[in-house]
Amino acid sequence: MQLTSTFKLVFLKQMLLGVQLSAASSNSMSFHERKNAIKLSADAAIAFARGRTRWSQGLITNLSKNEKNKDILKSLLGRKYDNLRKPYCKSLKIPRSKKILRRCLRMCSRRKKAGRAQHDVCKSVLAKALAKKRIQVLKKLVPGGESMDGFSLLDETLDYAMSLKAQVDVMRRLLKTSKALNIKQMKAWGQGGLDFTAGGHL
Amino acid sequence: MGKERFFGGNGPLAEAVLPSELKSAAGADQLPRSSLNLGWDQPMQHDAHAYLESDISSLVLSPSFNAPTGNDGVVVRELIGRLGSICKSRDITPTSRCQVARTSCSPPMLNLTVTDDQQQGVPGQGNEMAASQLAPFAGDPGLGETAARFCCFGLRNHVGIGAQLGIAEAGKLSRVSSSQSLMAANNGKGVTKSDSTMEMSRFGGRISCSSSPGASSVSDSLAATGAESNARKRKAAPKGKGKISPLSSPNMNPPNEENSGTKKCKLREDQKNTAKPTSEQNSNGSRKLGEDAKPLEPLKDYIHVRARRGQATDSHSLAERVRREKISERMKFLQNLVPGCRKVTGKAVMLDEIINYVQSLQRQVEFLSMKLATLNSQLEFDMETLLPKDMHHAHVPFPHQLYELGMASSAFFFFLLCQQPAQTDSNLLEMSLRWPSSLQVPHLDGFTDATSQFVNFGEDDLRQYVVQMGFGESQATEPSSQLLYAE
Repeated sequence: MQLTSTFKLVFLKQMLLGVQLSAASSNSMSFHERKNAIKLSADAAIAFARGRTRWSQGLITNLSKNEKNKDILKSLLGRKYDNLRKPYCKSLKIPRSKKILRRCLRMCSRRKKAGRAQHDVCKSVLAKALAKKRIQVLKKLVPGGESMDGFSLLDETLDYAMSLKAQVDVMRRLLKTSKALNIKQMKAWGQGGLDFTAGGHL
Repeated sequence: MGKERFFGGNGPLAEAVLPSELKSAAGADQLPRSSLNLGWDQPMQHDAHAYLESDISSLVLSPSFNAPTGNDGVVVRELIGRLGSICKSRDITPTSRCQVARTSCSPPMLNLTVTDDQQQGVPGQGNEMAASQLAPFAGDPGLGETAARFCCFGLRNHVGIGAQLGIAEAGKLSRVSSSQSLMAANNGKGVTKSDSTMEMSRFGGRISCSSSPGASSVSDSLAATGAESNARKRKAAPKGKGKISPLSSPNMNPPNEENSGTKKCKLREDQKNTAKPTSEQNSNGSRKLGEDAKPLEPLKDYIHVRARRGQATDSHSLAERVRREKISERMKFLQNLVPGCRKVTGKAVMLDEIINYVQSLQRQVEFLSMKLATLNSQLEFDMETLLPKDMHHAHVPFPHQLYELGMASSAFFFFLLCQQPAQTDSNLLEMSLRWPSSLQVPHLDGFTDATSQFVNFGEDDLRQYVVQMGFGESQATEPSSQLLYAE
């Protein structure tokens, strides 16, 4: 299972490395930059830790679209960067099919309004349309989900949801630990009698 | 495509558009859904209805048929299922039977109108009693009674008795009609005040029955059984020996309720596919009918149609079944993953939940990254304390990192390392204190001072320090690691 400690460890390590890399690239960062750096490293780290899945590839591809991030990602992921990048892009095909789908739905709804004679057919069509809408939303959520059909999308969603859960878990713990560490530091330095100001820690 | 079928199964959301009859039907308790999700009942019923209607329409293709009367939904299976229950009935009064016989003696076009009185008079009961009751009438002139008995046995797939009856065309006709009448008699339980019109063509149990539009879900549920019992009757009629096919198995158990037959049929099918919607059950029913109908030669034109339909559904249903099983597996897994989703039924609602869950997780990641950003204004993370001791390999890249990242990052790294004093391990504290104390002061001021001092140490020293720190603090990592993994 993905929620193993190995996965979490690899993720954590990669994330911290990534954060350091981003910190190294720019000495002083605003709050948003910091936040984005953390998020970038976190996303790259789960993609790295998970290995080669469609959502991880899609994730790296999406992250690489920002040129600034590309270098960080390259150095962070090393060899795996090319593995994780999606070799092809199917995005062009999708909008066309969406248009057709929309047209079909419009026609079906028109038919439904027109006469109850075909209401049997239209009901199943409506049910299918409802499900398809949801699947479209899901496709947008899951990285790289645009080019997947319904069945593999479910698989990838499952995988992605578990990775996200692990990510949230580790980040939460990291936060907690960092807080605890900071408190300890403050105490230690306070005991040390140093001229200590907590300005570095908000 | 299977995909469409998969995504067509939206339960509660399609409720609004279903006809009121199905709604009321779904509300009725009569539908046993062994493994079906309730949320899928209504649209699936409707699909089943449509499906079965098409099945029945194939039944009606024979030229000797007259078109079913009225706009009533045709529910053969309902009547046949009723028949099954009727055959167990112990209260089949002679009057009702005679009435049946009388009606059965009519010409091939039999139109039976079941009144409420008849309906009430025939509760479903054990088969043996019915058999025993009907047996004395074996020699009766009333064809209907022999037919009534025969139909019961035919329905139960009792081989011997079927042979006894000495199949004659008229007999079969009457049998079927009486069975129909009995079914209709029992039909009233589910179908309140519905007129069931039964038509018969040649023997073989081609029954097309029409019930009122107010047909309850029972009709739908019984449809599957009815279709199968239909095939069974047809088999029993010409061959004289009940083909103990899989169709018979669901009906071998005397259904105590009206719907138990359908329940059995559904159970059997559900064994194969746990999350099967009704439409597939009906497709399987039609498929089975097609398979069983093939060997019946005298009904060629009729069976030809059925066989074709059976073959068509065969090739599709297997692949679709596999797909559905896969999907149901994944859905179950997702149900376990997504909290609070165990009781959710219906694919659309499940998809909703999954979408919400993924969105919430993504938002949490954003929020946590924000919090981390506020907590560590310089993005410092104490990697050695945070990573557990068994990740020794993690220490190796550190020197490389130091070399690659340059002085600023090295200072940053060193800053991290010098946070060791905060650890509980006293050794670490001593080690850190061995360094010039002036180092500790500039930590808070920024990197520049630390950088200048750091340069004096050189990279080799730093590397040794890193390694020492890494190994030395293996004990120190325990508390923090415990912190990390205590949750």
